[in-house]
Amino acid sequence: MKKLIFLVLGMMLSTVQVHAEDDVLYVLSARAKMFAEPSFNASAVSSITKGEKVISLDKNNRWFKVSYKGKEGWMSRLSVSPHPPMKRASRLATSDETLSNESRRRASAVSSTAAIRGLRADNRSRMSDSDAVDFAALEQVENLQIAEDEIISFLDKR
Amino acid sequence: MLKQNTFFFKLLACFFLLSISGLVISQEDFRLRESNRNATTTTMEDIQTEIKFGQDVAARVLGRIPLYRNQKLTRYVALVGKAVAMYSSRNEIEFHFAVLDSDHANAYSAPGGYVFITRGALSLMQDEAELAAVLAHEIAHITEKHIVKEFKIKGKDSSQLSGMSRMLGGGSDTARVAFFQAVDQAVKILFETGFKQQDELDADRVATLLLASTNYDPMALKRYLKRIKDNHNQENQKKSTHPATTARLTSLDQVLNDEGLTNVDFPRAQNRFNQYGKL
Repeated sequence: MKKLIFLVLGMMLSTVQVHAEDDVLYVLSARAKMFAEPSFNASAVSSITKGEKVISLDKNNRWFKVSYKGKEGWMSRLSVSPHPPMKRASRLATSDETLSNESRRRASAVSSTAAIRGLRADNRSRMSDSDAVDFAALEQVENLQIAEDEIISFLDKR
Repeated sequence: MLKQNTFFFKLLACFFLLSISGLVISQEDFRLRESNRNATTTTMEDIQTEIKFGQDVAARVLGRIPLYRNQKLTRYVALVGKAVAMYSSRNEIEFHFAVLDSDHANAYSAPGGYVFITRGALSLMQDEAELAAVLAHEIAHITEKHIVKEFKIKGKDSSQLSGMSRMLGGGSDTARVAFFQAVDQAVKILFETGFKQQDELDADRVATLLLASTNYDPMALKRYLKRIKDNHNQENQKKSTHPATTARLTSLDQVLNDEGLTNVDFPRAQNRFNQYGKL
């Protein structure tokens, strides 16, 4: 009988343990605010950065009541998750070598698609007209880098 | 013996009640857990495949509408966009912003973090909060993975597009065709059919919350959409890839009410917009 009681107690404790792990939330966004009340209009208690852990105390449909470093407040469900954030993906090259590979791949794919669809050469030509790509412009877009400090300063200057 | 049995049954009853309460909480959390399901199963390979897919879609957007080459304006738009993206839930990807040289007021996004806004859209805006609002809407399509989910873009899975990542390293023609057909379909969504109405409304909701998080006027998207609606002529109506603006305005009213954001005084940054963003 005693063994059975210990078994049941063990099961109960494991249930409690699962709930304790459920209480941990991770900040997903680079910056997230903890508000005094469940409202974006409330005063900000803390600004918390990506990956920090907060403890969930309560929740409603759109907000979590959390504690962080001894302070309590509310965070939008948009900015936290039970799962830790992923690290930043490395930038994929759009170098000249890649571009030429892209062109080859695309040409091959267009031909294959056309072949599958049973298109004749004149139709394939028309299809490639509507298939214009500009990887050089894309690379230009990707090359515009702005440091996080500058973004924060930009926001503060409003 | 009887006492011991009574104690045991009480203990068992407690355990049963605790288990039941756990089940009830699980059901309450179901939606949240479901919404995070992708987060648990997303791998870095999935993200890189999404970026690769997005690069192809973005290059197609730029193939149709050229860049508006104005360094000062582009940097300003990128600053506003990156500021909003900083408060988004997807910091594992880098967001990129650019202005397109078109009179037609529109904005586009491609998976992996690519956001474009036309010169025509900028010319209808009155302040920085409105610019932030339109960019936030496009960012939301990316954070909510609307296209990624539509085409099941993953590094490895058992769908028709399986092995996209292997294909990216040089795979079979069949895989390439599947990839570029999906790119074709994604471009068609951007330029012809538009997103599903629910995806548009979701993007509006997330955009409003992003605006509030970034401390921009959360009414800005509503103001901009209302102006678009008022200015819309028949030709623009035909070209629009967004659902009926009236439905979006009604839905936005609901979001603003639910979040208590109807009468707030958040910055619009009109002066800075006039200096850097006004066309």
